[in-house]
Amino acid sequence: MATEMGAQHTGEKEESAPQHRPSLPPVLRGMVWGGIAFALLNFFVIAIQRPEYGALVSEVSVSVGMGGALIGWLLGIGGYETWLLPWFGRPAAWREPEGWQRYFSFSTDHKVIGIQYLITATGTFLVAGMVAMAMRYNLMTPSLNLFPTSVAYESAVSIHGTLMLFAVSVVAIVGGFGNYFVPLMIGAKDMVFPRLNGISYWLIPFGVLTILLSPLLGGFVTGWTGYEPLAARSPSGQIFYYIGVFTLGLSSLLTAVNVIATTVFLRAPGVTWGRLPMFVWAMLVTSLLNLYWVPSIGTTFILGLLDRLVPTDFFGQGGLPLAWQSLFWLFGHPEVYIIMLPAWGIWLEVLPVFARKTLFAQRWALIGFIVIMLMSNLVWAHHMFTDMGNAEMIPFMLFTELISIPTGFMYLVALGTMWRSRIRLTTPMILVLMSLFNFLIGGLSGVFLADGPVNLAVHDSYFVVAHFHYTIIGGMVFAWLAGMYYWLPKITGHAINEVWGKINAVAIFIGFNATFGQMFLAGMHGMNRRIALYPAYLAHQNLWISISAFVLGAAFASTMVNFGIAWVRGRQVGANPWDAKTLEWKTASPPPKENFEEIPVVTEGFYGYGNAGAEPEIFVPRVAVAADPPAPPTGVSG
Amino acid sequence: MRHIWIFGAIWVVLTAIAEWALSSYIASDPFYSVEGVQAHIALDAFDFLLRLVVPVGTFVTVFILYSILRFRADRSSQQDSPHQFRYNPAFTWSWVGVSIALNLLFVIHPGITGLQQLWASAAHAQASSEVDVEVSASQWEWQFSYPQYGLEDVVNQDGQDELVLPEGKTVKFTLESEDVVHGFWIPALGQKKDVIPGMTRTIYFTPTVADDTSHNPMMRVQCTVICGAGHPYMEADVRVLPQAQFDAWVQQQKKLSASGS
Ligand code: HEM
Ligand SMILES: [Cu+2]
Ligand SMILES: [Cu+2]
Repeated sequence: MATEMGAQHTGEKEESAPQHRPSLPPVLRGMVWGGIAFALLNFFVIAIQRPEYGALVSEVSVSVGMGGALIGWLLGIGGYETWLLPWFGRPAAWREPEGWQRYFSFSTDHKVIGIQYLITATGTFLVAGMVAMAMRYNLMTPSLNLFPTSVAYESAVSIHGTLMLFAVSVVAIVGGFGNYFVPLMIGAKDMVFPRLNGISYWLIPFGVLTILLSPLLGGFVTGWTGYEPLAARSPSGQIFYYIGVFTLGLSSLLTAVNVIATTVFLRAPGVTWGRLPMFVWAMLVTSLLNLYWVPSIGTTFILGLLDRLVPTDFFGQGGLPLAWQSLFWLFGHPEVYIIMLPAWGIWLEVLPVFARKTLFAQRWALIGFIVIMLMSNLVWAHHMFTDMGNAEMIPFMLFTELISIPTGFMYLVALGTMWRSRIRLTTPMILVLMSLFNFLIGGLSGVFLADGPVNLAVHDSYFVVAHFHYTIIGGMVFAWLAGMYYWLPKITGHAINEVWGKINAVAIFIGFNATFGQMFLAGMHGMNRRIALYPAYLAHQNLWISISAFVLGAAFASTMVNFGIAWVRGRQVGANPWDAKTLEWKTASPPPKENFEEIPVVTEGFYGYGNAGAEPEIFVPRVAVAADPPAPPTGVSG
Repeated sequence: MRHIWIFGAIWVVLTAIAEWALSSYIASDPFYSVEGVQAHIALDAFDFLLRLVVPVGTFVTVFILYSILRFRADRSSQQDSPHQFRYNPAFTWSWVGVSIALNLLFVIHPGITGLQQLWASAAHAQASSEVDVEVSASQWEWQFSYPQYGLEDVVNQDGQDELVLPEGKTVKFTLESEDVVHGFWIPALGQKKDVIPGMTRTIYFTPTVADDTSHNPMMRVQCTVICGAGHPYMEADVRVLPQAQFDAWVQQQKKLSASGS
């Protein structure tokens, strides 16, 4: 049944008869159509509004114009032939370009889309990283230097944070590796909804550009959290924050639908739920979180936009300023698990392969995933301890401490897998071990933040900035890089230089810990967040933070160069260079268009090494598992 | 078994060293400057947590390093490890048990106990009705009034807003915002509270050291919630005075405001 669905789709594509190529390259056509739509709608609204002083744009006109621009862009990029025409009963007259042009056009191939996501996330990471470098340059001295005004600096912080979270952290692994590898790892030929997939990618560049364009309207000063009522008084760039994040969220939502449906319906014979690879489990759980919480944040952002445009007063002084915070963090906290679950998925794929050992207590990792998914929305108010009555803190303190228990299961599984293994210290393995260490520091610093009195001391200071960079860069970005070293050879067919890989990994590790380790101290020393200038006594600390940050930036840049070189002229690799067991390694590198010559049939789990014995039947009650040979206690024979 | 003993020994030794190093770090004050009762409550909680998370941190770190060093495959071999197991109930359940115990402990102590100490310091102030300060936050200024003494928006000689507090007394701050959300923080006093437009908040501070911003920059009022262009310099000087000097200051301010109006 699974394979049939896959075949149907590809059949459909071949049938569509009258194929013609658009007269303009798709990206250009998208820009032209988007631009025209923007101009028309903008001037239409201006003609109605007739603003004083003859202004040519207003917030309303720009917002409406951007809506039109988004539709024009999506149609121009290929939505016209693949979505609009079929809706009116016409054949889908779209022929996907070949060669490199595939990547600059609407595509229904999950592998092309995965690469599109990866490149876009990497590019955005570099741009937002450059913004961070500029911020750190400015903070080398206590006064303004690089940025002309405090508002300019605050806009930079906002753009950096918004892009890093909504266009990098939640996109790189899910959009990139998720799209590329979920079908491969479950033995499918593509996603269930390839056209939806194509559209969902093209929302990302639009969202990123929207946020990057916000300085045209004065930037926005609220940071990535958009707190009200400041947002209502922020420069007009704020509307780009709402529109950009909404668009990016929409993309995550469509991807979530696709990942869930694909995992449920397209698993190859033998890929039972119990055998589903851990990375796919992570994608599935992440997508369920996205499905639930992205609509919530989307609605919240629309309300925020309306507060500026109409203006309604949901969150202003006549409304409830605190409601924004709760609505934001109700999504915002699940978001941190949307970021980390995929990273854990990578940990659990990479560790057994390079430890040459059976995944330890796999069931506990799954329990962890699922409990975290269910609990992630119970802790939002730990971001608001400074906003609540004392007694209200207690339940959120409790839930926050409790959710660190299932989070700890990831370590239980990782460490158990490493014990008495045969570790090969390749670059992906090194990066995963670094990610384990960094996320440990991030998590342990979270224990402090979860404590009421300590939180009231260090909240909104650089202590928090250090904490979340430890979890996001230290945990997620390190895991993402590990995934790049692990899977790029599969994607490109080229090996990555291991020597440079290790040098870069060590440099990133040192630069990272030096930068953000010191930020803990700066926070406890009285440095608050989101400031372009600070009291002189903090100058020494900040100078060293900035210097470390430049080392980190250089190490990231050098890593990207290493990837680039490998892509262009790395040594050719075979199907399975790491000697791994999951299905993506059973096909050529890079995989052929249809992924597999024939749909694989799976007869055993992917994590059994050596004489591991029977795989656990994960969805059977414990009694039935007694068939397992009694597990030797760790280290018994050593 | 040998591996377990060696690993365990390294872990214990390193933890002991780390705890010892911690003592000197704690002695040198992780919060840099702690000059109030509430700051001490936070600092005590911080120190307690630090002592307990260090063994966890060293466990995982030593585990990773030990595995890298002792379980490393020699270059030539691609073989699977000869030791394969899918599960180990002893390890798993002790892990689960310890993590549940630690996390529940943290909620109770220093979590709830710390909060109770904070409330106790507030209750003390309410009982003895000590000094009241009304704080008004606006873009981008802090203003301080002392309703008990009829003082409004007090300023220093240079006309700058200034917060003057008596040493050793618990002060009740009533916080209000005129526009957006601000955050009222005195780093050396170790607590903060957000100031929300349309709501009235209270926070209590008991400064225990006579100190001021020019001697200790952490003794300052600092806005912690982004509030627009002036956010970084939305600060105010603080002076903590011995009671007698504080009384003198009140008299002087009264005279000033009488002559001013
Ligand atoms: C390349 C190295 C990086 C450096 C040096 C850096 C530095 C900074 C700095 C100085 C701030 C301002 C903190 C504040 O004043 O509140 C900041 C904020 C932030 N950063 Fe980074 N960052 C880096 C990478 C990242 C990455 C990779 C992510 C996530 C994937 C990230 C996410 C954030 C977020 C969410 C904020 C908060 C923005 C806000 O306050 O609204 N950063 N970063
Ligand atoms: Cu949270
Ligand atoms: Cu502020």
